[in-house]
Amino acid sequence: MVGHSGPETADDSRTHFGIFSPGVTQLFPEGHVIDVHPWEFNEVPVVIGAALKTGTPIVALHLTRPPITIPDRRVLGIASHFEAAKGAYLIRPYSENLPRMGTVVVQGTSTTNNLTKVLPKLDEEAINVKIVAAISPQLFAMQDEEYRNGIFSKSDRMDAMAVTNRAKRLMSDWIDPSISGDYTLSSDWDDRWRTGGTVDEVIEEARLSPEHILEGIRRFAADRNKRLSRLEVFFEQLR
Amino acid sequence: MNDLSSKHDLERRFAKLESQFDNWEKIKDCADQFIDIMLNYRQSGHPGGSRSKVHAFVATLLSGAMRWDIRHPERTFSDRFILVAGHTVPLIYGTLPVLFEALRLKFEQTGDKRYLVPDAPHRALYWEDLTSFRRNKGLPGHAEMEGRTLFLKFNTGPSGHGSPAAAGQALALKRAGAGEVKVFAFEGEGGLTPGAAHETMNSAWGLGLDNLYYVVDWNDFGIDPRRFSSVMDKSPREWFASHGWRVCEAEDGNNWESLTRALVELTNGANPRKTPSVMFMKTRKGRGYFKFDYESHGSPHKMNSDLFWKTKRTFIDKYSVRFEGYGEDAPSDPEDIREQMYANLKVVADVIRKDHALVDYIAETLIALGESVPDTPRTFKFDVSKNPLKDPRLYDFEHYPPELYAKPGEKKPNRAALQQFGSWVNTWTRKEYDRPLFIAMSADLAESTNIAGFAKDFGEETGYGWYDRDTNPDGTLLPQAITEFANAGISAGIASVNFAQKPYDEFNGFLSSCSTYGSFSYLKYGLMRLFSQVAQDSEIKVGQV
Repeated sequence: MVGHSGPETADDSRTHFGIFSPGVTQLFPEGHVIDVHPWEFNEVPVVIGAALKTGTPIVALHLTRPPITIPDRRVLGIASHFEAAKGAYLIRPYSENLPRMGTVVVQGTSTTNNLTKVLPKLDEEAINVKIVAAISPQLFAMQDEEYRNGIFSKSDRMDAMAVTNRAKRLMSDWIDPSISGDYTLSSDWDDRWRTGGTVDEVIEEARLSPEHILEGIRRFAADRNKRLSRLEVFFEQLR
Repeated sequence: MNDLSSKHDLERRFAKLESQFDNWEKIKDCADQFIDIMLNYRQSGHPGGSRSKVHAFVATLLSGAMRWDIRHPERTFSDRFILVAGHTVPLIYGTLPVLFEALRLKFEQTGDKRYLVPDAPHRALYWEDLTSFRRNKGLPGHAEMEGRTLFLKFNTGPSGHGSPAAAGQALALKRAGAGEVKVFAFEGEGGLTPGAAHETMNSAWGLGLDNLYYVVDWNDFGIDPRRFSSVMDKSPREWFASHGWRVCEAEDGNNWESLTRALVELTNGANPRKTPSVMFMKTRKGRGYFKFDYESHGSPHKMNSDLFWKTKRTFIDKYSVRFEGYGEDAPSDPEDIREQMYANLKVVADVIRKDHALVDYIAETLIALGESVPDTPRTFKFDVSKNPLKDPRLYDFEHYPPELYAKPGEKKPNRAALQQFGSWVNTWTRKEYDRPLFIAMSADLAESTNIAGFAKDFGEETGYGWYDRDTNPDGTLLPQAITEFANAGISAGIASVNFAQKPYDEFNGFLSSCSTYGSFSYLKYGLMRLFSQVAQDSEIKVGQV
């Protein structure tokens, strides 16, 4: 059990932040570990039950310190906490009435909690990003193709950004860092260890506050065409 | 039993074993040769520490100190063996084929199924198998719990890593009411220098693991040329005694009398404080190998060199045998090398096969040892006809009790949900199966990380509480100190003990859980890596951590 992870362990200073170290739970062959990152209370029993059921010998349960308000998923339009058993689920789907602007993959407690706070603002500004809760890459990989493509396809992966309470390189299960890394929001955004303080102070320094997240998503959405053009250049170079 | 009668009892036990020394000496001689030949033709492996432990290993296997069944490594209540010094696995590869050969011959001669090793092509370790040493799909270079070496009960090799796994297995057995099953852990003094060893010494005392038996080969050398005694004060006596262990000593671990007296005391001596026990023995690293100490650690003699043939001289004289290519340079053709290796391994095997009295002794001793393994200890607490891991309710999160979920608007950390789950799952299995499912521990962070839930009440249902070696041996939360590395190993050890009636088909035992802060996760990786390998390859199913 990987407890008190992320910059949320702010009071204890950076000597106790689990930003990079929890990555060791990814250092196993595929199928040998189930990594689960529930972001709120109600997902915890769900992912434990789902992970145990797989019979996989090691289950790495990543949890965090600070209390957050349990979200009213119905009001927010977020999928049920039971969907966490599938490893990934939609916090916000694309609107069919607007051009698509890319996928935001979010993982961690403060990060997801803060992101949910800016959902109304995204609607207000007509920012049409899909938002996916990244709970467990292994549980997600066990779902059928239709589900996986419906939630987060391989194409989505090429056109995504991450918001994470871990280091950006630890999100490689979800995003392709060659372009997505430029938009990813993480505590190590400037490749420095964060300092300590209150949770709010450290989250601000980590640029994971609601304001920073909103700003990061705005930039990501605005750059959609530029991003796809960069991808096309890559393909051209390959041809 | 008072001191006098205890001494008398130990003396009586020792006297019964003295008559076996001649047979042990022959077994040791053959094991030595198997080690040398195997390493010579492969030009790889660890001769020094393997040879120095042969006396102790033979005596442990055949004296009755260890109750085990060579034919059935899966037997739940066999004593368990962990080669913490996993690099010395040639010790195992050299010794077990001597024993398996005797059984094979007796079965050939008599057809008596008592001598039959079920699924022998995959489970028995014969001398022919030594030709695959350190080759792909052959015998691994370090100790692995799989295939022909399921006798070994964990993957070992990284220094010190096997120690906490051994403690975890001892704990699982005790907690299940099978504390009469011993866990033997063979280690060298070098392997006692990593922090894992110290964490384990403390933990094993704290947990009251009186079924954990260390055998320490004190040869004073590792890989580098300095003696360990030049950087480690005092002796194994002080190292272990200061952690509360019961200590026995063999002045000469390569002498049958000295060794056997200490071994008898180790496994039969009084242990009123119910502590873990250790026997340490002074040995010479590289005994009989003509290169000694650090130089004998990790490389054999050059193939067919004069020194290699010198290691054959005593055996030739003693057993009147002739080795193929004796005194000659190594063949240049790989196929010729393989043929010579096979021929010379067979020379040793023939010494065993031609000694009918030795074969009878080995075979009958092994059968008697196998029959001494209990089917089920009287104190065993599990009903293994039922398995909570097969109960779909365990995984049916949509129908978990409502207390496991919070209402929108409540303010809670997600870690608090682990406490709820832990207290529910162990009280639920208590109610339904009269046992806990999880054994949990933390690094002095049980409440902080909420893993303490695995010991707590859930509503009206009573939790098992903190484990206490004296007052609550049924507890499910181990009172661990700041020992992340050991906790990971203890967790892996716990989940490696399978009580199922058909352990090749299913796992029925404790799952384990250990916690620390995310920032310290690296401290747990070493043992998880090894456990992951065990889970992949061991034919005996293991559980989940």
